[in-house]
Amino acid sequence: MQRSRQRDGHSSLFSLQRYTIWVKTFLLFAHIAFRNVRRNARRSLFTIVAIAFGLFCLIIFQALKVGLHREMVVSTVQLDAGTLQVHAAGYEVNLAALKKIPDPGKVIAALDQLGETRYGRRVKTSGLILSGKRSSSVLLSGVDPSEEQRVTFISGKVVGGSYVGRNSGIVLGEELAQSIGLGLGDEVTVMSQDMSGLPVTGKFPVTGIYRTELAAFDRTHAFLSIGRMQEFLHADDVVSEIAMRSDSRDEHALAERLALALPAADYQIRTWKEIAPDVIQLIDLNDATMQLLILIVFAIIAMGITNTMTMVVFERFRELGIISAIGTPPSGILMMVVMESCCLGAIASLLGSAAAVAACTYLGRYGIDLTAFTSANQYFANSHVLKAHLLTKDLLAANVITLLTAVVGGIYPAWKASRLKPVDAIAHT
Amino acid sequence: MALIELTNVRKTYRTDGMELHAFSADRMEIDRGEFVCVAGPSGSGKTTILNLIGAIDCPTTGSITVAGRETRGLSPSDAARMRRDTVGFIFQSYNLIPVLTAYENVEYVLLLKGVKQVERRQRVSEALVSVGLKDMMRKLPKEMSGGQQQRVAVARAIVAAPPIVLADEPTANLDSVTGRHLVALLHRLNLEQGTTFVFSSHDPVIIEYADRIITLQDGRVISDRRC
Ligand SMILES: Nc1ncnc2c1ncn2[C@@H]1O[C@H](COP(=O)(O)OP(=O)(O)OP(=O)(O)O)[C@@H](O)[C@H]1O
Ligand SMILES: [Mg+2]
Repeated sequence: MQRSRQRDGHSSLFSLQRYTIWVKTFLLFAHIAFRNVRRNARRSLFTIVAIAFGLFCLIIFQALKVGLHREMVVSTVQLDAGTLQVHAAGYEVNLAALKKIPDPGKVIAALDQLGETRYGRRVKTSGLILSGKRSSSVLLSGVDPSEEQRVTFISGKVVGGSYVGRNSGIVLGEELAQSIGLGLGDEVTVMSQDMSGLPVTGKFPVTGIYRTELAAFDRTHAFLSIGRMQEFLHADDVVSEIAMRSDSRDEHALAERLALALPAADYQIRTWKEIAPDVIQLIDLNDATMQLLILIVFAIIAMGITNTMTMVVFERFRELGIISAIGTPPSGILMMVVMESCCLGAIASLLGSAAAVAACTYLGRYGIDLTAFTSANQYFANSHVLKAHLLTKDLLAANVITLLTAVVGGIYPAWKASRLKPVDAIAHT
Repeated sequence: MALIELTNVRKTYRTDGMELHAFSADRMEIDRGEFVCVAGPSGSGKTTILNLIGAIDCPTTGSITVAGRETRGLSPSDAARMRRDTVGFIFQSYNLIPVLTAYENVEYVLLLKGVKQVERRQRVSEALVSVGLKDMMRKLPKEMSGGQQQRVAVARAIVAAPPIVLADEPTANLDSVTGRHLVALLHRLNLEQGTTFVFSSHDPVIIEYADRIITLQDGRVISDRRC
């Protein structure tokens, strides 16, 4: 008898039949686990609801966070910065005098080469706006309207008159116009410095008023057509900044590819992350906070599962003793209990995910209006409505984490169950 | 060599520093095909001796061999394998896995042993037929009477054709008529299949069926007679 056991233990270890039996045993344990979940339906339900709720919250938080970050990036990139900016080498933000990009055509050619078509040539300098007794310092941008519309969303935020056109006057933010008492059609005096650093003064009619969701931007940014600007600053054909917007998620790689065509001796290329480091830092901080939150929530879920499963094992003390007495190996008992906790996790995963997907669909369409909290927040220049954005990979990851948590939470009670002595369990009636 | 051999076995329990002598025997043998009843008053050591033979418990000192294999010093998984391969168990009550049907409960041990599908189906049906529960296959334990549940336990104990079946007071929770039927059933299986049965009871009506009665008192064998 012993001999025969050894024989088929060795020769058929890898045979299909062994494999089928193994699968069948696995299914049997799974079957027992599932029936046991149903057996104490109320307790299982409480546990499942708790896990599902944790999962639900995390998926939604994650989706809102992604939505928030997208909004922050859009607010940064499409308000003014663009994905990348090209300047002349040695450019600094606070230079008083204009710094001319050498051969802007070369930059445009390089961008075309990369298949990037959304770029805008700009002449940008600081200036002073005067109206009657009031004045305000602003950043003056000379833009090519047809190009600029593909980079920023300002043209879509015009609330009076029209956006910059070839022959238009100046376009001001609503806040600025109101604070210095200007309306459409009024004439405004603008002072700045020309290419050689000499002061220049010009008069322009107000032909457009825009309003973004960010008052601080509106107060400090004014737009002219690039032609008018070059004329005003005595800077024919000068371009001081080229901003481009790309859908590429890897702006760093894009910058590097662009740098191959534009030598660093002549050109400076910066990504939006370099232009607005606060944004990316805030995003990183959010991500870290979220990870901590995930850790805490899942630690709590794991403890909940451990608690439930410990109760289960305790209640089935005798039953497990019988299962062991009739020859189930400790590993089998371990598997059975872990499977039961996995079963709880899997059902909770399905429920939590379904609810979260529904909620994210709703929040993705209608969003949450945060006007009361964010009107002075630079990260909400485009809109104050926070929309959820659920990524498939986040949904999958949340589910995988839930199942892993169920396994981890089940392991300790399962291990306890597998170590239980059948003699004690059977005596326990 | 006898099927079951106990040599200088002693089992003591230690509770709160007190040593409690539960069972001891210098020498005891049970042969293949015997139908043995372990009798004796409550606390005399009946459960203890069955647990020792079934490798559910191990002796404090001494040696026990079952089907030629020593049960002492087995690891938990080796003991489980030994129980799976050599012993069928019938307990007093709540024998079955509540979430499995009668059929599945019986099939369980065959799955553990890795018996293939066709053979499994045949053996489970045969076992259930032999205990008279052909029509109860799809029922859950809670849908069956106590006697029926015990018969499923019998089917489970014999389905893998182990050399030994151990039954600790299998009739204690049954009424006397049902209890008698159950023991008659065990006896029939013993005669038909030659399986060795060791069961415990203090019910004189049931003891009658046995062809060997080992009587215990205070953990010692006070009489061992064949009838
Ligand atoms: N786990 C244990 N710890 C301590 N003492 C125990 C343990 N199990 C049994 N005993 C003691 O060992 C002795 C024998 O017990 P055993 O259960 O074998 O008796 P029994 O004949 O089966 O009794 P019953 O007819 O009541 O089932 C008793 O005195 C009992 O109290
Ligand atoms: Mg007993």
